[in-house]
Amino acid sequence: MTTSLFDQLRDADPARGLAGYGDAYLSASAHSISSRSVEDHGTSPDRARRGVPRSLLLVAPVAAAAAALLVIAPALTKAPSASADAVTMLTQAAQHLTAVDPTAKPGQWWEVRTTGFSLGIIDTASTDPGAQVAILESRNRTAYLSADGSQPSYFADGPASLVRQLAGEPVTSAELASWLDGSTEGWTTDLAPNDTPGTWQSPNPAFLAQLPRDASALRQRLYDDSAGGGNSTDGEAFVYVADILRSGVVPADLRSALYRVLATIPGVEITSRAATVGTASGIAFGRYESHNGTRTELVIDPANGDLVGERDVATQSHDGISAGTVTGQTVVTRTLVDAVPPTVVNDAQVLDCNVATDGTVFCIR
Amino acid sequence: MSEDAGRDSDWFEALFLECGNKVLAYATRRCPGDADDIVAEVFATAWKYRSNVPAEPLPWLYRTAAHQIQHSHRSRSRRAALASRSAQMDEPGRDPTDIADGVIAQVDRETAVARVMADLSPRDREVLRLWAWEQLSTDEIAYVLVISSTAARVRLHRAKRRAEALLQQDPTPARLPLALRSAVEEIQ
Repeated sequence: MTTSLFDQLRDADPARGLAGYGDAYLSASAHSISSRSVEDHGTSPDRARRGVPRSLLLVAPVAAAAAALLVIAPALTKAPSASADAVTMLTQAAQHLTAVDPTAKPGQWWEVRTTGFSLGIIDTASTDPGAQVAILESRNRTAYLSADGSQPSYFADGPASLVRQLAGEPVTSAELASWLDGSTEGWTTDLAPNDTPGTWQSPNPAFLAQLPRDASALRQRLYDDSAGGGNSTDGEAFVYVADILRSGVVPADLRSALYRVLATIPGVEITSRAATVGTASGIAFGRYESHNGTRTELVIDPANGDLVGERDVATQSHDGISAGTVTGQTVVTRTLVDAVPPTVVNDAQVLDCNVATDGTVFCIR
Repeated sequence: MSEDAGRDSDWFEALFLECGNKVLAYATRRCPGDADDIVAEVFATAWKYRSNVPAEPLPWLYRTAAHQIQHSHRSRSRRAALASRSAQMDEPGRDPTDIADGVIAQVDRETAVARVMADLSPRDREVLRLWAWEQLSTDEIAYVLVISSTAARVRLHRAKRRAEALLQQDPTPARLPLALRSAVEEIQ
């Protein structure tokens, strides 16, 4: 192959040669939108559309539903904390957290198993215009993380399979084969966790150790680090908490502090008192995020503070899926092991990674 | 409002001028018939939530566009009456149907890349688009797809490997008309 994949894809870009908008149109459109009064910021969609030029008004039939949902977020941010019962139960979970972290010996690894399922919407328009099917597909990953962060991690992703179909005409095996990743893939990198800056999404031992255990300080750190992301400040803070808990390596004292912080995030509420994730159940704490019709919930056993798992629930009917349907589920378990299985090591491809000056990690094959 | 300090109409105009056509290209690649609507809604959202727009705005705008495409698609599938909506668009100086649909049709039917893209999974296709067409870094791809950076790296790596393997194969006609038909579920 003489031409790189990148170049071939670039040549096939449908937007190549696109004329685009002229500067005058862009400026006029910007002025039309920004000339709305300050009071319109976060108010009703009808008022928000005042003064929008004709081409923008054409978006109204579609935008109305989205805008009506989007305006809920500012209202939630006015609340001083999570709902009262959520505060009570999260505080109880934090106080009753009885788990004791196993003490890792030198050279040991955390074997972190992440299992569950997620939603897939398949457009079958090629055979039936406008038709869609909704399926739940399995997820299965085993990660090996050196307990002291000194060795590169290993990951093994198992094949995806159909859990069940939620909506649409029954899918064929050929359609499933084209959608689901049926392969098992293993990979590692040439950087150990300690060689990279830890993050809420990829925490290393040093990052976990330096996060405050005091709830107020931890909350401040959480909001500082998550600022600017997501569709709402509080929503992103909730996502960051879910991210780090999902890593499976959060020590018990930090988990307790995170529960206390969750109790201070506006919009967090108890969404179910008997939510089952995998084989266990607990209280589900969720936060309605208006932009995508899905609510992520953390399921916690208040009796002992165990994180049972995480699940996604549809907050509105869409694509044939009824509101209230569980559309995603994640259970994370961890155990200490003495070594990474040889098959995992041998099957892993090694990514060549580097840390940029701004802390970003870049990897190539 | 204090959180909007500096996020005034001048900032917004500069944002629109800098990124408007990039978002248009993003939307055209995925939903050519609705591209103008998507651009309008993305920037209306950016103004509405201007305090949330990060200093490097493009990934945020793409992610917002992805959400808008989902809303647009779902509304469209529920209401066939909207099918004629794009035909009403008359933004000066452009004809989205001529530019986008024509190019896509040509790409879909004739190029090896179209065959490869048709043979890839929707997820592979979308990550390749973000890499090659939007030219995002893996961290930016992760942000747009709302996945971890690690997951983005792996997904991109796999997609490139699969695409390269398919390109090495003997050319055969595209299995299905591509038409970017599944852009909606790919960006979920």
